[in-house]
Amino acid sequence: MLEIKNFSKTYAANGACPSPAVENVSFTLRRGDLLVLAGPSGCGKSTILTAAAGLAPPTCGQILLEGRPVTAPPKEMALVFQDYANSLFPWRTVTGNVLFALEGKGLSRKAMRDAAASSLESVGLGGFGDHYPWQLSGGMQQRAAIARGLAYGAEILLMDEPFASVDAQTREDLEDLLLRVRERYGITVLLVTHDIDEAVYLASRILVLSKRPSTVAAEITVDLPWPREQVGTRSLARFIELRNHIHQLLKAGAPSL
Amino acid sequence: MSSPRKRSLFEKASGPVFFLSLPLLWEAVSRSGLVSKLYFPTAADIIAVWFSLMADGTLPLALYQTFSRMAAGFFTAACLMIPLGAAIGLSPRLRLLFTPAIELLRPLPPPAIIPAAMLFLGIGSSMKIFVVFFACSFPILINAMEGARRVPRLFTDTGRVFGAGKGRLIWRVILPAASPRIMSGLRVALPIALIVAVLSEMVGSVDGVGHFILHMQRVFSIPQMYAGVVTLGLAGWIINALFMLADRKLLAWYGGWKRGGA
Ligand SMILES: Nc1ncnc2c1ncn2[C@@H]1O[C@H](COP(=O)(O)OP(=O)(O)OP(=O)(O)O)[C@@H](O)[C@H]1O
Ligand SMILES: [Mg+2]
Repeated sequence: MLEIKNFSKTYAANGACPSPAVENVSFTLRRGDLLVLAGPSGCGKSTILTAAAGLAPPTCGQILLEGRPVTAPPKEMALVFQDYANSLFPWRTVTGNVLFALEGKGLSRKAMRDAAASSLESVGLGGFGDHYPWQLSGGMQQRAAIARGLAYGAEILLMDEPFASVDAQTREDLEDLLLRVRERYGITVLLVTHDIDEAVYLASRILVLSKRPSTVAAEITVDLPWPREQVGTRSLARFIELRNHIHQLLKAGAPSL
Repeated sequence: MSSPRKRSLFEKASGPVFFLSLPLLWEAVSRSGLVSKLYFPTAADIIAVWFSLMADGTLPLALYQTFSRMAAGFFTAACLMIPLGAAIGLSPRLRLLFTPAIELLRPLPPPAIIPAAMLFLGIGSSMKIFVVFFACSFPILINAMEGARRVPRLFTDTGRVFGAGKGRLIWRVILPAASPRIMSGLRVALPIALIVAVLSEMVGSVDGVGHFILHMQRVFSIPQMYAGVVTLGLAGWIINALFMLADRKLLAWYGGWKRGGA
């Protein structure tokens, strides 16, 4: 349903000769996919995601949603920004921030409040709705940003390292929450992560990007059984095999020191 | 909520102490005979005159006239210049168009336009309202402009991702994000409004506190003149206090955010 075709991005360099950050990346996000983008830091994962969300046009190539070019953020998509802390509005409470995602939907005040509350509940922030984002820890802010992304109720959820700054236990909880939500609402997810284990655990497919200027180094179908389960899935021989394979690929693509 | 820093007893007391000691000091200087009693009546005299002028309605009426002109000019400037400033701040093209005009008019001291304004608008209220409006416009416009221009990209991107169209983006994202800067424009404009209102009443008027003060000086009713000055001082202080109250309420989030959390 979402097609990235020959995507290239070259940022204007002040003074220096501009070199492309992302070169000729193509992939397709199919309905029901949980596609994970993995790649070394600075390889252009966020660049691809913000372009896919319709926030910044590609230098070359096309982004097509159901065959139509994406030129502005479509209402079928939500994005959880990598810089979650600065994407929460500091003048709104946590509930207010979640409500923002619901405001354009023509719901009643009551329905909006309920939806926001249940969304916050699901990320474990039930008691913090009246706090301001800047009164929360980094991990809690990240969960607030996830709650807002979920509340929007989009068909496609783009997530940029959404679990990067929470503790291991919360991270597992949020991973499973994502899998449950995806199951229940049939949403399609495009997720960026640094964490190879997380990638293998969550993904239906993994796209490994090479270092800058990045291209698709490999596309791996994760043939692990569903539903995934933290302890069981992670101890499968196939899990470890996939993990090591991706590790090798990333190592090959990483800048040699 | 973050609680404001506890104020020490000294800080709390310094305001009232200063406030009470001023008339005492005045009284002492007046009685010492260092300056002529005629120009420097005792504080007791001034306060007595002030009360009677308040009671007979002279000062309240004058204050009402001054204040309503000031408010009309100030609010007109706010209503026109905040949207205009935001629009200019958001649009590079409008910025190119307006910057020369703004830079040209900005350094002009507002009182300089009073004579010209009198030619066109006479010496009635509309002239004063216009001059107040003119004087307030620049700080409000420039701050709204900068505020809107500096709204972080990530805020507007977030708004767009979550389905905000132009209207919601402006009202729910850009204006709140720029509100600290907009409020500081209003804070700068507020005392200017009072100053210019009073000044315009001194130059060409038959009423208002400015006219009252000048008139009392001319007819040598010196305690009355000082009573007018005291009234303005008090009014300015109250207006400022009210504004600060609104400011603190509206921008409670800003302090906490800038401090990086509670
Ligand atoms: N606004 C920008 N202007 C210039 N260069 C940029 C800009 N944004 C990103 N880049 C460059 O593009 C490349 C890709 O950046 P991007 O943020 O997409 O990487 P990433 O894969 O998300 O990295 P990380 O995993 O660290 O978040 C980087 O080398 C970066 O220097
Ligand atoms: Mg990134």
